[in-house]
Amino acid sequence: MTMATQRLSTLFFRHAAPATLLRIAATSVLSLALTLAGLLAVTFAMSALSPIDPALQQVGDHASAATYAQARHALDLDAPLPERFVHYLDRLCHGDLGVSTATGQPVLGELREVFPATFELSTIALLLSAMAGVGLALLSARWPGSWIDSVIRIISLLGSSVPIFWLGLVALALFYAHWHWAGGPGRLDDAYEYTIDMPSGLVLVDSWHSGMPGAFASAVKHMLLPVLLLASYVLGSIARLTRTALLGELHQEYVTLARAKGAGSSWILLHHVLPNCAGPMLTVIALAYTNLLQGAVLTETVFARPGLGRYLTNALFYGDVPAILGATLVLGIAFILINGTTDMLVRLLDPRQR
Amino acid sequence: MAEHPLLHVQQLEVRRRDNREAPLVGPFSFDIGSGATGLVGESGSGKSLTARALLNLLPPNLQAHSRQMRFGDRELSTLNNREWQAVRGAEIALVMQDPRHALNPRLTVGEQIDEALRLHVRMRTTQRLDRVLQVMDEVGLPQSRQLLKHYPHQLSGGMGQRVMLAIALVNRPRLLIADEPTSALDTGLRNQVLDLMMQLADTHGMGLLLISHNLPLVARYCKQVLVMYRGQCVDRCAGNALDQATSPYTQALWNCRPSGHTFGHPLPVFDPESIEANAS
Repeated sequence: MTMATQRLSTLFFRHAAPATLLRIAATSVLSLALTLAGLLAVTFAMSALSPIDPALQQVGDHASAATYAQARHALDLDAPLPERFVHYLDRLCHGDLGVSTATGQPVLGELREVFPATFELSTIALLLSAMAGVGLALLSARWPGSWIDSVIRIISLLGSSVPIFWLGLVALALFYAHWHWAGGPGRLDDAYEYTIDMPSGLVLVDSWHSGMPGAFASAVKHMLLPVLLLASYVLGSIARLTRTALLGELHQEYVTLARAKGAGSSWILLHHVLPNCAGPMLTVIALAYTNLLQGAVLTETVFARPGLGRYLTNALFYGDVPAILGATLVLGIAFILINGTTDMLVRLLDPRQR
Repeated sequence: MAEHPLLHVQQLEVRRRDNREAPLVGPFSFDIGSGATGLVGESGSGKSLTARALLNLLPPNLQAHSRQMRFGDRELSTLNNREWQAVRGAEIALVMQDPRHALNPRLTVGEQIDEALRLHVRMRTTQRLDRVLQVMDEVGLPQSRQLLKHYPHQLSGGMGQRVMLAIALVNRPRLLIADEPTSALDTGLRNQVLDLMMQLADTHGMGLLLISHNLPLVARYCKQVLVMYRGQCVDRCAGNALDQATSPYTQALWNCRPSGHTFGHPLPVFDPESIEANAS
């Protein structure tokens, strides 16, 4: 069977030429670089033009003019803007994102702790919701207007319209407090929380490598509810937009020809319509991913998990400019990478654009 | 015993599912024998609906009904969906108007021809490849091996139409329905593609239903012509007798055909009222 499939693809399917792949990759990298430059300029402008005065924040408003001037000089605030931008880039290149004014810790170190947690949670939630969303959309499009279709539309509407913090609290009350099926707040049970090392910051990976089977099980139990919650939050938009794309594509003439060839509805959906919806599908999934990365604040708060969203929110409350900028930069880079990869995939998958 | 026609249709009608209005097509009866049958009429006269009804491929809000639809020794009007799937593409095949829309932009020529084969017969991949190459050769596609890996957007209109023909013919159907197969092509290609279709129909003893609004073409190629007007079959005659038709509608259609002589002159206007008066 695999032999036959392999032969089929070598006979009938043309893979993109290496030169084409290289061209697409090169243009993608170029556009990524340009967007990154824009992002750096914006984050720098945010810090330079923000009404918060870091020097004043550091020395307090009773300090003498001399101390204040010294602090300004130490923080590189007295140089002209272009020079400050160059210094900013220079510091970034050396991995120096500044020191948090709230905690006195280097921002990079703090981000290293919180970003993997967010990344882990949103990636798992995304994989789950993308698979479930596309599956539901396929069922909907296979029997449009049927009861399956209505049930799926209601599920997806509920998922995206019920407030996530409320759903989170209800889920905790039922599945943790009442039935004890899932783990409670935090990433691990207390017994493991301070006993295992977190070199990667990904709790599933680190608890697996800790050698304690209980730690891994605990991590999974604690991840269950937040992952399901986040997944249900984006599931609706993925399912609805994919369903619309699939149904729109079903009116194309090539679908009629496929039916005239003797293909059934399920075959047509899987072999013709789904591949032709790859563009809109990848786009909505990428959008869901960016939503998850920045929008996990409420979930992280309700479940008392560390994460980028919560870190950024706290930094905003304290007016902690270096932390805000660091978190924004990480989020921005993640967005650029996600969008760039999506663009590249869409182009690679479409023979007309290769 | 009298010779059976390939397809014998009795009292075919196409209605909306809510059924409140008069039928969109028919009811009318016709036979399709070997050799080409032409189906002509103006836009909206029900030609394409008739063709789709013969394949049970109507849009979901429409419904076809016929007293009898005999294809060889099979009755088609009582088939269920699964049985129709076995007929479509294997015994009755369809060629559509515009290859730019009717071919899937994401699949290669080879995959699309092979798909029609794969849906109906169980064969080893290499055998299927042989059959695909053979049918591509029959429809005059050059360098078929390289062409297998081309995508539809890399083909010219004429080649696209030949690919569609290859898809239709790969299972050796007994009836080919060609729904305006040449409207998207220029004049030179038009004759080439039609000549090819006639020749293939002849060699394989395949019936051909040619839907067109190009009357001179139909007159030249078709043994029998059905003329449709507002969902009704208003006239039927031999293809070579189209210019001497007695039905006023057929006459009017024939007189409306543009040619080198009418270039620069207004075409005769055709008056529906006189036809209805005549018909009733």
